[in-house]
Amino acid sequence: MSLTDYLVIALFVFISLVIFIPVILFIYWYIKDDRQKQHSILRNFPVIGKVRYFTENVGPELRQYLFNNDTEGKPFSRKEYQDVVKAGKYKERLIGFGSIRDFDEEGFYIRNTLFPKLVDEMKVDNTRKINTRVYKVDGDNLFSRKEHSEEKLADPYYLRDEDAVVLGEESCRQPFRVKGLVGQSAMSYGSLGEKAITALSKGLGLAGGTWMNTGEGGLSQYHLAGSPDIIMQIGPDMFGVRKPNGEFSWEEFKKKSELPEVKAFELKLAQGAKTRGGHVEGEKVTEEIASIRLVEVGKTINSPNRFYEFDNVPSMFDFIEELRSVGGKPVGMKIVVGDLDALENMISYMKKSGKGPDFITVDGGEGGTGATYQELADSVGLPIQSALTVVDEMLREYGVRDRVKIIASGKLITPDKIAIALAMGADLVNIARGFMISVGCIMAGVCHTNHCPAGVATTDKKLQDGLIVEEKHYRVCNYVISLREGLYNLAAAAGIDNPTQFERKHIVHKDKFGRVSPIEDILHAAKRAQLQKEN
Amino acid sequence: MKVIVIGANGDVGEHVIRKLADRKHEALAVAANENQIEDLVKLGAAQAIVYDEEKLIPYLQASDAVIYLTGVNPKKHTGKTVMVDHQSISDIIQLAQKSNVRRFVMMSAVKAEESETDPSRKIAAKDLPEDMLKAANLVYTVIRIGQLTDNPGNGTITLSEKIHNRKAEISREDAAEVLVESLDKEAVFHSTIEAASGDTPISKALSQF
Repeated sequence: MSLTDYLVIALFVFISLVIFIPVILFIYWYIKDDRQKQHSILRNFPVIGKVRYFTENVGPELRQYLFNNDTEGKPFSRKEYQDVVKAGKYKERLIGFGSIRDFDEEGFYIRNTLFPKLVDEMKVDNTRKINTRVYKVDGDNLFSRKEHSEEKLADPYYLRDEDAVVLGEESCRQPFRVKGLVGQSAMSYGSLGEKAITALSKGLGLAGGTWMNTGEGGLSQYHLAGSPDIIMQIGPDMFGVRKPNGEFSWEEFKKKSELPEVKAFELKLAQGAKTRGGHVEGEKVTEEIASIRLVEVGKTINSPNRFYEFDNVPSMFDFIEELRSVGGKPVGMKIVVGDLDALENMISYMKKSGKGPDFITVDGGEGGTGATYQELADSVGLPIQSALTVVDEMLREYGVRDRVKIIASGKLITPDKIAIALAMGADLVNIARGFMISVGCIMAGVCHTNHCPAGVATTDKKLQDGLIVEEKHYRVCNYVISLREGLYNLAAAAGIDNPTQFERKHIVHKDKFGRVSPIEDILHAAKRAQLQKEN
Repeated sequence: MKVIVIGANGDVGEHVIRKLADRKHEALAVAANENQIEDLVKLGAAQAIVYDEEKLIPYLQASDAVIYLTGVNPKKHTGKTVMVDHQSISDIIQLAQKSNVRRFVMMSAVKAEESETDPSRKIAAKDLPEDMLKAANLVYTVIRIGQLTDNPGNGTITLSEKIHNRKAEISREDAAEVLVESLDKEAVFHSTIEAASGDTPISKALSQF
């Protein structure tokens, strides 16, 4: 063949690549879209309609990175997210050029005093330093950031011994004494992978003065990996403390309560994200999961949304009494506040019977993670700021406030939010998603799919490859320390010498028109609403 | 040895108290205010008191050595005339002589960044505490340290008469160890030394100085 022939062939190949193949593909897609019966948009606008599905798919990412304002992302804004990440990575949270909070909107504010406390005057215990690692930035350019990590002896910001919060002080053989106000909320092994749980356990163990709630999925070896103080949660399916037939196993309970790491138990009546029972697909019930939860391998689990053991306050309190006397450790309960009558009924019975939990974990309706339905996540249960004040006030009214500690949770991932919750009546605060972020969560919103891209909320070995326990556990530790330091900063500004001293008088609510009102107003409003319901 | 630590509440002081306790020395911690007493006892001080010159004599009389720490920070005080409260250091030196404490270790700062012509040096104000100590009838050691960091100590340093590196750093834990170790190292008696992080084990560096 001559050169011309080669050129002709080359031209033909070129034309077919650039023109024919796309045209053929287009026709193929056109016919396929036109004939399918699933999507009306594609039937009416074949091929071009695909743009809709593509953009819908990448929308959340684009919004998060490009289009959303720094303060408007949900559930957490870019700013809140970064505050957590920076605390974990650099143990440094300074900002420049002021707040970008919308001060015209309504919200809670901490009242600062004219003469704040000096650093020297704060009641803090920094006698035991923590050997952690932090990142230092060497250079920050458009496409690259050079940084290295180095060892650091950090101040732990523990509470002084006399200020430590004690669960079950009067009622238990082994009360739980904790020298910090922030702990990790319930997250089960299974909903998070073993690497995430291990990193959390080691980080919390390193930080000390905090605790880890196992979630209702039982106590695993990963929770124990870093020997943190543990609150073991017991859900309606009683994973880890059940007999094969589903009944409560006192023998297993006793075994768990004898572990030195286990400091308390929590009965989960409800949680903010799902006032329903959990669900685990049979294929996810591996031999390991089955042995931790004490269930059958490979069998789908549908948890009931209430304990079979009790359905009224007296029988529940009897169960709590027995748990406490067998285990010798504090027993609490986790609730979502909705019906105030039911709550009042329970609290009045606490007074009458002298029985009841050592702590109540109040989860706000905005509390989250896990797999649930939109309607339950959005609209069932009161948000924490309303719920907390109501529970605190009711316990005071019935004169039982000193017998029970309140643990609050629901998006309280920064020191200011925690301080506001403490002022509203919380004794301690639980955080789940903040800790997920500290081990690498990027808020992809796919916790329920087992496809978490950060290897956090997944048991997939391949995805978990991205999560290095050794590196992440320092971030967990730094995040807790930073929160505690932040709380001391806020306490100093409010004129108190440690964050356990926060009271209602230290915060105020400002409405859209600039009017300020005290917390007591929430209580009046809640009482009015309840009265209207009764009439 | 009974050691009185003045300024024990500082970042270096905390480490000094712990290291003294580790070595079975009896530490008497002198703090700036009441709030710090509890922490210092927890760190291992045999006793902790609030700084009060009037009441210091009996404590000094009962002690074998003084470690004098202040919030000296080489960066913070650049260009400032005075680094520490001269009256206070002068008083302590007088009291120490009166009460027959022989050994006196003072923490000071490396001043590598300041030239001899710095206006603050011309009047010699900054060197006054060191000069007062040298003039006193005490077995003194002045230990000038580099920029302090929060890194964990690794137990090794460089010691010299003059460190010229303006970026010389030392961890607070190592600085504390130098102060404590120097108490009984005759090689550094009656001398001024400068310390920064390095490769020589602390005890060896001090004995061989």
